[in-house]
Amino acid sequence: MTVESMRAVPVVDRPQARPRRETQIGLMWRRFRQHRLALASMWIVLAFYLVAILADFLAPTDPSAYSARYTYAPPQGLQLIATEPDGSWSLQLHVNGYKTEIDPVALRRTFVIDPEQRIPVRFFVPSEPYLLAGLIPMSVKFIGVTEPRAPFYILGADRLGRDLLSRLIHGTRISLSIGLAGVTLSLFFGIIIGGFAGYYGGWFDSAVMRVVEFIRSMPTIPLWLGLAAAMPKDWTALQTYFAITIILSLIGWTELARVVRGRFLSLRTEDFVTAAQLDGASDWRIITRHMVPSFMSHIIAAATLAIPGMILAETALSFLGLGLQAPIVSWGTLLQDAQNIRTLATAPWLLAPGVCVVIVILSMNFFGDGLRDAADPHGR
Amino acid sequence: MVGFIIRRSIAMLLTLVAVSIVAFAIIQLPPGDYLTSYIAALSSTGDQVDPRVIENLRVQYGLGEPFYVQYWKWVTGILQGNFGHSFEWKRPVSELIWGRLGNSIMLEGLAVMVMWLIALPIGIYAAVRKYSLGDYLATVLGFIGLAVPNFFFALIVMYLAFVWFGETIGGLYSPEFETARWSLPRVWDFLSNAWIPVLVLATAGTAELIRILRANLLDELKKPYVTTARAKGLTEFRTIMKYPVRLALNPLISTIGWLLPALVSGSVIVSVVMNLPTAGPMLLRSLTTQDMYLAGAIILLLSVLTVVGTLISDILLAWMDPRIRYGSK
Amino acid sequence: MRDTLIHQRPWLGLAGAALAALLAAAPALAQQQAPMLEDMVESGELPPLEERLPENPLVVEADSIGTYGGTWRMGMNGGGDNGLIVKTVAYEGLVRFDPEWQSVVPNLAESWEANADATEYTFKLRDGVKWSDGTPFTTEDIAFAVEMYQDPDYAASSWIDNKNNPVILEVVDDLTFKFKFDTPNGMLMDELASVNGIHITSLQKAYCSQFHPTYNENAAAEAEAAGFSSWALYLQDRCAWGWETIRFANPDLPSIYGWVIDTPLTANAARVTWKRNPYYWKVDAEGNQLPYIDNLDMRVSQGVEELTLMALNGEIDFQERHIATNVNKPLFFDGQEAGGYHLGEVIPSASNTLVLQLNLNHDDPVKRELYQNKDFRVGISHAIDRQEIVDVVFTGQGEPFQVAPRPESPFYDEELAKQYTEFDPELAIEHLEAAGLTEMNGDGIRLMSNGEPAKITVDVISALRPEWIDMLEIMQLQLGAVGIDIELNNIDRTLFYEKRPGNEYDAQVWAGDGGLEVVQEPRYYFPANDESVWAYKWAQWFNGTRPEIAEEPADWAQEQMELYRQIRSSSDPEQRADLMKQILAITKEQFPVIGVSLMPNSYSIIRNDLKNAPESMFNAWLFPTPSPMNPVVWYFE
Repeated sequence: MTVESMRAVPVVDRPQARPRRETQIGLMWRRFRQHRLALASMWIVLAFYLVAILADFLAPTDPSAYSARYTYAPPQGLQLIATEPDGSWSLQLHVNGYKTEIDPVALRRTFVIDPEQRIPVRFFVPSEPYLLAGLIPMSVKFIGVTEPRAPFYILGADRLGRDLLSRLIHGTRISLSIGLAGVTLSLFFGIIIGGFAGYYGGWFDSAVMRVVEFIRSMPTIPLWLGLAAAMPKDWTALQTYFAITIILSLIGWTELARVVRGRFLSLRTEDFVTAAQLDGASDWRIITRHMVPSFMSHIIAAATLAIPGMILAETALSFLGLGLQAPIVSWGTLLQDAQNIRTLATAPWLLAPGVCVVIVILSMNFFGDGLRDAADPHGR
Repeated sequence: MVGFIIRRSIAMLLTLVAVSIVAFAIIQLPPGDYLTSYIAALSSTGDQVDPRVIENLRVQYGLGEPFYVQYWKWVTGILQGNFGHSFEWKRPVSELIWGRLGNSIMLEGLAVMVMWLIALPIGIYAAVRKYSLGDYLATVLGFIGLAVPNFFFALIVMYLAFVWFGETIGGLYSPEFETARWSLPRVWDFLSNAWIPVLVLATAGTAELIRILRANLLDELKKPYVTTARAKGLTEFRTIMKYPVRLALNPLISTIGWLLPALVSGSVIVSVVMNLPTAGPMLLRSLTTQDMYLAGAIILLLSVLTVVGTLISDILLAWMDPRIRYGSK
Repeated sequence: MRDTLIHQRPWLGLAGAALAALLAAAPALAQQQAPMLEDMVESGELPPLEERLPENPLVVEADSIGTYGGTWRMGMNGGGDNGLIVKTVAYEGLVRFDPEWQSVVPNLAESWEANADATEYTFKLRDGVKWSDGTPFTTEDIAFAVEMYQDPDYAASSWIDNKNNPVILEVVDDLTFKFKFDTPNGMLMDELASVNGIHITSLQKAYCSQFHPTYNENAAAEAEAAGFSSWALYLQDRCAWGWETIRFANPDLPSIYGWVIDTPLTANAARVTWKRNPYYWKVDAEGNQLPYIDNLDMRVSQGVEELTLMALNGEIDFQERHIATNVNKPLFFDGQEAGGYHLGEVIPSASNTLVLQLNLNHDDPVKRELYQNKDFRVGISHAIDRQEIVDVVFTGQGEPFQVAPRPESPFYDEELAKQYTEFDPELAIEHLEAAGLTEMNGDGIRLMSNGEPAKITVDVISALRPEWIDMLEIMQLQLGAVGIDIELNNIDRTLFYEKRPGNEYDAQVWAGDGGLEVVQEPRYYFPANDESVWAYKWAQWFNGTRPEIAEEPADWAQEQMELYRQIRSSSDPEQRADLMKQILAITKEQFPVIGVSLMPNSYSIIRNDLKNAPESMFNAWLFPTPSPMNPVVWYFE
């Protein structure tokens, strides 16, 4: 549905409009806006990135704050309407407390949401001081409860009584940034190598293309497994994180290099380039003013489409025990915690990271599709 | 055509040499060797291993030699059909891997077929009835299949099968057929067990196929010859099936090349969760125990599989499209 | 015959546990065998039962006399899960432990004797025991095993070729032999009754000698013909030691187990199956040949989730290994009725859920001095809120505990188990300041004498026990509150071990082994072996395996080592127990390692129609449960 929605509004439809200077990006944006699903997806993706940036502010509690009393506590859900025993009601944002029982034989706590217990929820509650995004000192959280020690588990708690919502929000940071960082690295390699190949052509071009073909013919999982197993195992969590990013982009760059090279080759013979040449424009001007803007939009689209693969790859590696490991909080490690029968049977809310993965990947795909269509009115 | 095949085959051979070097390098990369991980495993059961015994084993296994010597021995061995020994299982690697590779190929081959079977009608429908409810639905469903992590999907399917039907799903064969020879009942047994993992595997790639097919077909449908065909009064079905679909399929053939590596990767994870006797779990295990010749052989053979897959799709394409045969871009 | 009591332990009331009779007179009743064997005898495939059983078969007593038949289904972890086989089938040494783990009882040897200074042991084998191929089990096979284990080309390591005190064998006749030692070896019987005892009975000379050039001059050529580069590799493939994984890949290797291999454990096996050994040499109280159960079926699974579902679905008859985790308990508890099973009690041998071992031999002199300072360790211990960890991670199971003998052990000492376990941050800070950590940096972390923050990097393998990470994350916060920075280093098992000889770690964690097997596994009580990570270099000084990195221990540790040498040279159990108590007294005084909580009981899954299976049992490696509970007398109703 992607290609046609923008084609429905070809530029030639408005010959009467007075000539207006339109940048490549502006053109692209106008075409992109026609594509509703892509537009909506873009907002979702942006929202997720915003969550990642504002994680410290948005997460109600510390992701590692545990509580013995609320292990595997089910989601409370936010309530807006408070009903009094006499039947009257009022608007009051709150969550309900739990009635808990410990079963020492079966080794578990049973929770029942107790509608009698009302714990008011406030916005912008004061908290311990922290640095937002590591820069801005703050001491207020977006949402929270004012009563100290009152349970606040909108999405439920994990096996240590940690707030799933907070962990999810903090995990967003790692998972989305690993995708972004991986794609940035891939772009870097891809543009340089693909660009050179497209520019020089000849033996260099075919050599690069052979390498690309070769790398793409390696099944990725064994490659990751081998590389991940080869990672110096005394590395810290942060080093592992960067190493995983590099490993993911080692394969990712090939696709981007192909796109860049292809674009470069085809643009060289495009009419508008020839026109610019006949117009006497310098090579520099042709490249910077005409070629790069038109292919940058393409690159952005290709990169967007590459991010979901990276996110999925991170979860897969974590699943195999070779990627990020606890105590790092990422969607992959959260899912690794959730991938057992006990969770499926008794704590399905812990699957929420899986839902996030699905939403982000869907949105990224639609967003990327829209961008790709918008970037190129003629091609596919 | 013959020239083209020869050219591509030579390129493939070069790729294979490179693949073998990379495969060997990967298995050599982790610090330590099989014996260090063997000692670790023994020590955790409280066993003390005499350093002299380890030295002896290191010599017996030829582990002390430099990289290029080990590589040369390995690669020349493979040319004679000898993939080396598995340290852990003390058996020639070639005895261990074929059965599992066979299962991998069957499973992935089935998955490719299922993907095509699902993607073809949906892709055609989505292109012909573009912007209909069905088109949107197909796209969204396809993407959800792409977005759900494979291992997660597999686990949920297993759990639901247990809850709803009281069945434990796992393995590719029922107990009575595990070691049996191939026969019609065994094929049937295989299919009745394999359809679930195949479906799980297929969900991941179907969306991509639908997307490509739909886009290709839409391009074809706009071309003048389709309008001509319609004007000549051909039924809509014939109009679409006669040429546009056939032409739209062309680029799909090239997808075999990337489908295979993607499926091999996907099946590693699904196999671990669903306990399938494919090459994946064995590779995972051999990498963690640093059973290098076993790991190397599996990586090499899986890569060969994909390289050959690419070659086949290249040849098929060239056969259908003369422009490629003659080397034009 | 003599029964060597290792240590007195209170009767645990293991209801339903099978009891091994300590030799009874040959049963008077008519002997019976499994119907499938009867048919084979009739058709002439097998000699009659009387010829297959020894003169005086080992009588295994049980709650009830069983019936023949059935298949015991269980689950194996993918890859090499030889541990399951050892713990269910292969525990057949010269002697064994009784089901209560209180004494050593006869098995293949019907009697033994030791001299006063524990340098010479004389064993008498049961007359007429046969290998699974029908050939007699004699001292020749014992001699062959000793020869192989001591051959440097045969890669195996055990007490037989312990380079500090190797076995010297003397064969007296077909059924009598002596083990002699240069240095007294008072603990030999415990060693022989443990899982390590199966080394000596694992190789049949008649079969295995054909792969050794001493016995077969064509051995090298045959090895090459079979595709092996040397005879040694071929020998190790066909006749692997004790419980090596590939030992169970060779169905031709004769054994003395209750069941023999039907489907071997190969790299591609989807399951490993066993069928009854027609020459098994044990009978029930009525003289019926054991085992009762016809077949064993071990499902090989890559992931434990498949096994979990199988157990829930009633497709597993008895199992504790792999699936009986803390997290799964509610699941299995709820599934009892639907799955037709119930849960049994399993008492771990480990004392502690997590042992924090600071490296007292650290190469950095500042850290070494700090870690060796008892005040520092006591301070850390008081800063840990153990009850909170027990509540959060173990749902209230267990209690604050140090690394000490378990309450079930005769060595239990409440003071040793409970000292410094109360949570008291102020007391903790007092001790830390007494250890010289008075200054703090801007982040609230105390500074060591060289001005560096007191940061401890703790190595942990989360793959082994996922709860370790959970516990350490909580301890990280608790210790942070008193100014000690803990960094978690979640690493792979191989590296975990590789770091030890290089001395490249601040601290490592492990579970508290030696809670019941106190004398045999003293790794946390003094620097005893390679697992004494807290004083690796001192341990090397003691056991001499890596002299190049050995270091002279502190005086108190040397004193303990001297006491342990005396234990080894004593053949009197009372005296050994007494010496061990002296060692533990020094441990209590020195407080070398920090524990968290008592390892809570685990559980087993028992199908309701499986009889004679233990409702309660210990779980250990040296006491390889459930084998000491005699699975050969279990049966299906």
